[in-house]
Amino acid sequence: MNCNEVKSFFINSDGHLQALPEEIKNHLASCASCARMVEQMTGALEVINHEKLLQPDPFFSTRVMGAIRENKQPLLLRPVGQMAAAVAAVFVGVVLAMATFSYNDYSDEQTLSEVYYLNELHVEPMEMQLLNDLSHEE
Amino acid sequence: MHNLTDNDLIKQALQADEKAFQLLVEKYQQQVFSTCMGFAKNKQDAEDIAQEVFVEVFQSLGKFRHQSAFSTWLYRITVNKSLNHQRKQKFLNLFKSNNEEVTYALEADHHLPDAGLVQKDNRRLLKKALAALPKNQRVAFILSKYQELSGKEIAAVMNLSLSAVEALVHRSRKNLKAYLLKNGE
Repeated sequence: MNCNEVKSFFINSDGHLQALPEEIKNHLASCASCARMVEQMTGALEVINHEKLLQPDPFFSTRVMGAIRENKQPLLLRPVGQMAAAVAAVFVGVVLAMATFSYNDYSDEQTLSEVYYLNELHVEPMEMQLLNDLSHEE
Repeated sequence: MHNLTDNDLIKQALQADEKAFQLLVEKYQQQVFSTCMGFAKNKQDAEDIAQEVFVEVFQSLGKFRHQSAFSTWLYRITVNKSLNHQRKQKFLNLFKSNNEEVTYALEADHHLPDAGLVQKDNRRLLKKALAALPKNQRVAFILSKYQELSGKEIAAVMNLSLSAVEALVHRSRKNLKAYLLKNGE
């Protein structure tokens, strides 16, 4: 019997591993790899029996009733609701701050553009203005 | 009050009798918890899912039409909540490194007083094998092995025919063992 046949036997067996056929026993005795593989499989399956016996916390039902009462509260009174309200407040604050900041930017641009339009000396040099003034005085 | 039937307790719970609902919780907590244990990685997660199940049951009690046994309805909610939890965990694991996952799995075993290294490895291997099963096979296997429900009961919970459930349980056993033999080191 080879390793694949042993594997196939365990996959298709009904779980009664105590009464193994002689040839399987012989193979497991001589093949360390298969023996380890089968040991691992039975160990993992044994965990199910262990987990089935676990019990919830003794105060589980009290905890459940507490959660139910908390769920009955209006959203804003629940910790999750309070957290959401705090996040919303921060978000509103950030949005307002950004709006204010962008307004300042806009006013700076305006000031710059005003300065730009006032400074038109390259179009009408100072000398020309003085000549114009003189001609008006005359 | 302890002699009341499920229907009596449901009626009283619907009339805002918290004590009646707490009795329902106490009656079914073990079944719900151990089903969740089959899907969850550890005891704490299983308790959290079980708690979510009972909160959902409380909120949906008015929708229970008595067309199936209360326990069947309860198992359906338990299975759905457990599968949702697994989906969330899978999504969260996308953002975790392998090391974090290993640490999490080891921490998860602290509730077992006699959890030696070998047992931790066995648990980890079993959980991986269960997670690798297709969804329907996983549900059928857990209801069959963790709850020891009959094929007929599983069929009622999963809304499938008895033959379909028998085939699912059979395939799940084979696939699980094949995974354990292939991946056990």
